[in-house]
Amino acid sequence: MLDHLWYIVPGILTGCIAGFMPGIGIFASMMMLVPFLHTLEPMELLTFYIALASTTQYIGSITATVFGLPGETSSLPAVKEGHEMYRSGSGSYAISGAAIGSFVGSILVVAFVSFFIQFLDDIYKIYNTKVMAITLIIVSVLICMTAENRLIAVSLSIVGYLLGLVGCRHIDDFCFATFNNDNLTTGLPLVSVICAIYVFPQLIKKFNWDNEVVKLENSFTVRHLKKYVKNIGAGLRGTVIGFFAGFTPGISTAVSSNLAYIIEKWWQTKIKKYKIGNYQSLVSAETANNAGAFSCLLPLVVFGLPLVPSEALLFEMLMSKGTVLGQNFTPSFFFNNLVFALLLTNLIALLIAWPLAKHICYLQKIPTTYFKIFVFALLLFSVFINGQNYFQETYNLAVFFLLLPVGYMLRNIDTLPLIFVFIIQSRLDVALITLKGLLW
Amino acid sequence: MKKTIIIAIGLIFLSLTANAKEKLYVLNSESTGGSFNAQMTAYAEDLKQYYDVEYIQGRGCNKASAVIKNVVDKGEQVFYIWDGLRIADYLNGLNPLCGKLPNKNNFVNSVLKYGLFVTDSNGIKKEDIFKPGLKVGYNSNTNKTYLEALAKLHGVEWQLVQYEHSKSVILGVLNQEVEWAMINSASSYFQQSARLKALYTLNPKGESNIPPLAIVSKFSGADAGVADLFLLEGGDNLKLRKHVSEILSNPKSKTSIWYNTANVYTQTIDLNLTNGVERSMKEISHWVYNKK
Repeated sequence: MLDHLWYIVPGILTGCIAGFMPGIGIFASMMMLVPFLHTLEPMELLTFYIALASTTQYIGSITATVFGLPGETSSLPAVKEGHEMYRSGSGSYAISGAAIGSFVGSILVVAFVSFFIQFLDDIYKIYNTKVMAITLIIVSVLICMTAENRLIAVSLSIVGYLLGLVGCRHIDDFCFATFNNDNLTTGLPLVSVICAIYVFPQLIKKFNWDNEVVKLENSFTVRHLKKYVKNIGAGLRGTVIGFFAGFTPGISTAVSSNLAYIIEKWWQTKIKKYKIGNYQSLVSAETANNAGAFSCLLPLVVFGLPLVPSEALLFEMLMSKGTVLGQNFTPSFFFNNLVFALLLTNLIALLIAWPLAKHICYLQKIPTTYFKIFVFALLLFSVFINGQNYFQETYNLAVFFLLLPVGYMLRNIDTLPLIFVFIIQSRLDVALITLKGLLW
Repeated sequence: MKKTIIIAIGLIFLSLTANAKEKLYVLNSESTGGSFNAQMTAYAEDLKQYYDVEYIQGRGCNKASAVIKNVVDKGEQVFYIWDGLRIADYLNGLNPLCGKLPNKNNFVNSVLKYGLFVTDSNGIKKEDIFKPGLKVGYNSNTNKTYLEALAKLHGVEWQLVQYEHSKSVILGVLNQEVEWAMINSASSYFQQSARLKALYTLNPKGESNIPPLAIVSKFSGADAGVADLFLLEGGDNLKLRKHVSEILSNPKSKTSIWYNTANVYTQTIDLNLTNGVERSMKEISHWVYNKK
């Protein structure tokens, strides 16, 4: 009866790859595995997907912390805070905090949803155009208002919006700055923009870790758990914010983690505890992305509404097996299939990520120059591989190299407002166009 | 010995080339999150028994047009799906790159589907849809023009609300943001039939107890279907058409199961090539407003 749970294993393995490599997200990794996925039964496929979607969140934070590479857009805060912690020698705390936070966040949202399961049928009411438009505007404003220099943050947001606007908009076929170039009609590739403007500036910052002090910590488990418990408030705040922000269509975990991050960062600054490499901000963001990953799944399983491309692919693949997800949803389906698979996946991912944190310090034995060269090569590879999925490797690389000077110029500025607005731009436009129609 | 080795290598080479399948690029010309991607991934899997298949995401008709050109320029063949409404847009003078017209050299197959007017389960009654001032949802430029013409014929003015795709239209209906909405096929409705109420279908014969719009409106587009096309460039479309026919007649193929579950598409594969092209263009022409 529980045979389908074996498919957690390939789901976790694929999630490790998708979480590790920027640009190979959940959707791209599923597309690569279509032949395998077509051989699975519906419940096996759903279990595989749950394991994949949850694991990417864990592994994404490890890659972001160690290499400064965001495996997923939800790992942007971990690039900022986690990688700084890693450079200053406390990377193991960053990884354990993110892993424990993700696990606790998942348990809490499952408990929360289980408690309110009779109301799940009305979940579509969240997807009100006005609510969506207001949420996206508030998040964008918060990003700017909580920044150290609001004027710079607003300017960067405008640049992010304009970069996001490049291409042809699906809703009304409006094209901006495409210059009759067919590649530009699809917009600027997300992976190229993030790698050039967000990751590259982190990479060229001067740092030099002391290779001599690298050693394994004693009483690892207890000390790390104590540190998390001491800062559990950040995790709880992240859970609540991440759960509700996760309902944003198309960009759920990105909004969850970034919103939780900016709010926690603002709070830590207000109580005069914030310094880059902040544990609480990292834990809040990482807890939020797992909570968001779960809330993003709910509309799909409850009433068959896919919110992100990977969910749409899952939904349609299930249709090719004769199953329409969301029809005849029952609480027993929720508990027997979704909850069990989710908890088991999170437990396994925690057991992988936590001990890994103990040994991650050995990577600091690599000289910084070699480390930087390796990370830059990884950046190039990610940009290239992502382009290959869309028959546009050269275009992806060209955008990356053209934006590198911008990344260099912005190396001393927090470019998160630019990246965040770039990510949400198309959702914001769609919401505003529909809102305009509703208000006349 | 030397001779034996050369003969053995030659035989291995011959057997490899004899078993090598033709390369076929399979292209999804629209977004990654929709039914077009689903149809093409199912086809890609089923076609692997005949071809060495490579799947490409086009992400919109502009880019997809360029991909098709690149593949053909390389001397390869590409099988792709093309939205009939995009062709209508092209024939209406919009999107110059999106006009992939079917002909006897590229046509493989098409599927016909019919639009639907829906409201939420407690929404307006059938007889009230032509009242003035209603908020009506839609999700493509062609549907907007269609609804404007329908409203004009019935002497009313509606507040038209544009959504991104059929799923967001359905959400707008469920949240009662609009009184009713037009969707391009009944599949989204059937997936949410417990929460929605179908008002009229554009299928002249009606569909699953849903009455045809033609019984209450003399609008010329009241029975307008739309065709989504499956075309091949750079290769033998008749050969591919034969394989597609085999796939569709096999009830266990991925593609057949998907269509059977969706339950709203009519295949034209049984028509001969000329009739298939003509039937598809006839449906598309319903959405062309600047007919010359």
